Amino acid sequence: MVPVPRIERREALHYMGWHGAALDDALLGQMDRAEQQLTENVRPHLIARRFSLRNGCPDGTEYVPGGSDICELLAECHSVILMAATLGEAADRLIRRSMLQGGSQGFILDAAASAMIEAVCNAWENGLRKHVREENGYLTDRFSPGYGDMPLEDGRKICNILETGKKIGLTVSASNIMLPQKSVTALIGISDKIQKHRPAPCEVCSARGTCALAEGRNHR
Amino acid sequence: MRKQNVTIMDGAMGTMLQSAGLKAGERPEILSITHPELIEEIHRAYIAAGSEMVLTNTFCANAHKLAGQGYSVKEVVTASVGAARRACTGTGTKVLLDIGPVGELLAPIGTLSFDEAYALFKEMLTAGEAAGADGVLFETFSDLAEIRIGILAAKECTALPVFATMTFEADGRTFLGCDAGAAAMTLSGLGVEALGINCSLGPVEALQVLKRMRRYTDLPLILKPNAGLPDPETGLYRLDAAGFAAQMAGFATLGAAYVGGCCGTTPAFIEALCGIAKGKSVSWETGAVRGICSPGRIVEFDGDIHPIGERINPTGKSAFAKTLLDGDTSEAEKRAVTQEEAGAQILDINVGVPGIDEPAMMRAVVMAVSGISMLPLQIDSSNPEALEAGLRAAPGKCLINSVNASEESLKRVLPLAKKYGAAVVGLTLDGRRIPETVEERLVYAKRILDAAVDAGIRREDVAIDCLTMTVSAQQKQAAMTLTALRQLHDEWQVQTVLGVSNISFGLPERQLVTETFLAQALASGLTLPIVNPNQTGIMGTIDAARILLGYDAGCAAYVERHAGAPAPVQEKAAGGTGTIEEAILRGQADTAVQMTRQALQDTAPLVLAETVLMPALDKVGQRYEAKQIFLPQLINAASAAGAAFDEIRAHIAGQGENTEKKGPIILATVEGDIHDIGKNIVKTVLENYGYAVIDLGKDVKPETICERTVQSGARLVGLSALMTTTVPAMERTIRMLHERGINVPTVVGGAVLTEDFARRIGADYYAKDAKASADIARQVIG
Repeated sequence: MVPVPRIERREALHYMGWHGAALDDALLGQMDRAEQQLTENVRPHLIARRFSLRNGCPDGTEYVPGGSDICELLAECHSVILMAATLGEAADRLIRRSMLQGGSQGFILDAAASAMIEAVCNAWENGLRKHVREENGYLTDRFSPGYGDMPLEDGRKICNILETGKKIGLTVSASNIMLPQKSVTALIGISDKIQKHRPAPCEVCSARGTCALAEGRNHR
Repeated sequence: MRKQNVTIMDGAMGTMLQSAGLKAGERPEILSITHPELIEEIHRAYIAAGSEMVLTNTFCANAHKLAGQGYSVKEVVTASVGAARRACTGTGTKVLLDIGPVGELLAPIGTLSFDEAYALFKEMLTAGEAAGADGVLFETFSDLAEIRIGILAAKECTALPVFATMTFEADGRTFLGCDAGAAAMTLSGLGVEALGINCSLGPVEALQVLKRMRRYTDLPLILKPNAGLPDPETGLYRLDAAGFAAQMAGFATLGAAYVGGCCGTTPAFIEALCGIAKGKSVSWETGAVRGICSPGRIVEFDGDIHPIGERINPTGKSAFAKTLLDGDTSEAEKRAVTQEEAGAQILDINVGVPGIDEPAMMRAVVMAVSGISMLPLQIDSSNPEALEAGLRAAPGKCLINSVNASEESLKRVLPLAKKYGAAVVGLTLDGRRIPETVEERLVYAKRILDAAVDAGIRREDVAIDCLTMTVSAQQKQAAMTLTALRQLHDEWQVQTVLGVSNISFGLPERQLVTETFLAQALASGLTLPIVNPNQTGIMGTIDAARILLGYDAGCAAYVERHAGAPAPVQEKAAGGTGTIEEAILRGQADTAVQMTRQALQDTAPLVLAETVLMPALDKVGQRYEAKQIFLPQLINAASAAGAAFDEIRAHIAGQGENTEKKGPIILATVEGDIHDIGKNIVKTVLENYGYAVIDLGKDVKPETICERTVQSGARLVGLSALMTTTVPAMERTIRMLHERGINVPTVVGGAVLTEDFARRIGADYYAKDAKASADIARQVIG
């Protein structure tokens, strides 16, 4: 289990499709309650494993990362880290219970939970970045299946390698849906050269132009 | 006291294969076919180290995980059992078929169905038995529902002895929140040889969890932990063989008659373990705590009062009955959550509606409620097939409501309790006659208890219901019931159940009579009252009784629930501030309702709806379109409007007029997709815009959507899909509607859809958001 992080309020608001409308106290109160409910209930878990890269593939596996975007991202890297994280089933249950009661709290919880799993990954990545800097390495951006041309099927492959079912309780359904739902799989490369910050996930995302989240989102 | 010789199991297979060069992510089970000598060699090494039971190399040899690997389940299982058998030749070592989780989550959280999981396990089990396995070990499960399905398949399709272990975190829960105690209680009832823990933890932590399991089972335990906790940097396990064996020493006092190792352990670990365990015997105290449980919650039969919520029962509730007939379980789920929040500790599930397929509906509701509530269930039906459907689907240990003292009932219901390891309520009547005296009630109670014990059910797993009669019709019976209760509780020391509200039928101010009778019954020894927990007087009576009977130590629970309780609600100053429209725009439902009630005193309801509420709702929509508010604010405003409309509807109904909502509209998230947040938001908005919604839930088959559309006379079908991988299921659904000539307009939505794409898959409308859905509904239905 990893610590439960604080939520970036802006991030949660973006997931709700916020485009700068005035926020009333009632809504802010609902967001506070959502964060509190999540903090009391979720048990986040994260697993990561580092591999040397041989011909663009993690050594010691038969995994060939899918698509050209990831190859480009890892072009200057000597190693890659595969990671998976989840808030656990309690988050899904909490959201479903809240949705049943009607009103907007369930929707707000859903957005807050998305922001929370993102925060779990960010906290881990920040720690990793420091660690890698100590050995004079540089990290690429974190890249997940579904970004750019990387197939969702890669999520299943990453989960198989990391044995996420056994280790953190994360599974992948027949239609490549991660369960529990508030979960992330990703790759992150390590290079000797400084890595440029690539376009934000939205801009390489295959759902670009159609995604409900993208509207009004401040691209990082 | 029970005693048994220790059996030494083996250590890790995966760890050995990895050191032999297995790549991460590769399916190790295939090696049984491609490198059988390697697998055989690993088994031999464990046998040489002292293992008396080895596990086949079949952990993930199910059809889902083997898909695309080029070998069938039968081939892999047969080769794996063969390798183990050859290694055991000439030794007394037994071969257990090893079965791990399927690797996908079961419905309702995931999309793997009960039947699919059952078929996957059955295929492995029958192949394993045919190939000569001596037994089966289900191991490393996090989901109690899933391991239960495996055990049922093993019991129903093979004669193999069954062993069962799950994997827990240090807090004694699995990743899915299953409590080790609940696992022990549930698995014990399913006829396994032994149960326990494997993987996840080192011996020290695992022993702590095993201690909790011991409290709830009399069976021998299994202890097969990892070689300590893994180092987060290297992923390597921290203990060596000697350290592992030293930490395992606590096995004996807990009655762990089966010991071995999991991840990170090797033959050296097993050899060291033999040093302290081989040839020894273990003994343990029997008398496990009885009760019932869900995976996440145990209700102990400890004498304390545990209220059973009665609200999931459609009898006399026509609107609720209609949702069930429509195949919509969301109202049942909602009732589960509100009762749990009101303090119910057990949920009664009754789906008896005339004309319904009761077993199918029982199964659907039990699964839906188990996915949303943590509470143990009471399966309530007079139809044994519905009882079995509920017991089969429920992931914990249930209470059956009920068996009576008639031959036929005892013969049909008790075997179900035995098979599924359930507790059972015994009704003190014999099917023909309702008893009138205390003695008659006790005769029937004895008959039920004796028959239960004869059927292999523990006496402590029977709760007696000595019947509540309506006091206005049979006044003397109330005293009879209370006297029988006292005797059952004080002298017979059994659990007692009563549905209390029946007492006051036909009387004015019913709650006075019900609450007083409840207080008297609790004082007489009622432990499992069936009540409506949403009535504060009922729960207050129980809270107070728990103080007076001494169950609530230091009155702590009472004080927590009742200190700072709001003073009786006073009508707020009439009207509040501002207008109804402002209350709606601010999303203040309470204020909107209160002001609507006020306005109804001098305005006709339809005038109010058309001149105030509808324009307010339109204004909300305009503000949303103009991006002055965003989605959660839209939902809040629509909910406030919806609450005001409900108030108007109630007012009209009070005048005996028709208040039906418009529609109905079918909503479903398509097959294979479980992202239902968008669909749920659309549902909330549509309902608040005055439409009747039939919510078919998520992962809904095209056939179901077609059938429900026709049956319900729906005016609009709304479909959602979030993933590129599930949009084809949306297309299939629309095609099937067309092929079957069902000419109901369709509206689709979801993150990856566009207007253009929606047209291409044959949808009539595309809704970019929940507001657009309401606009489309207005266009189609009015």
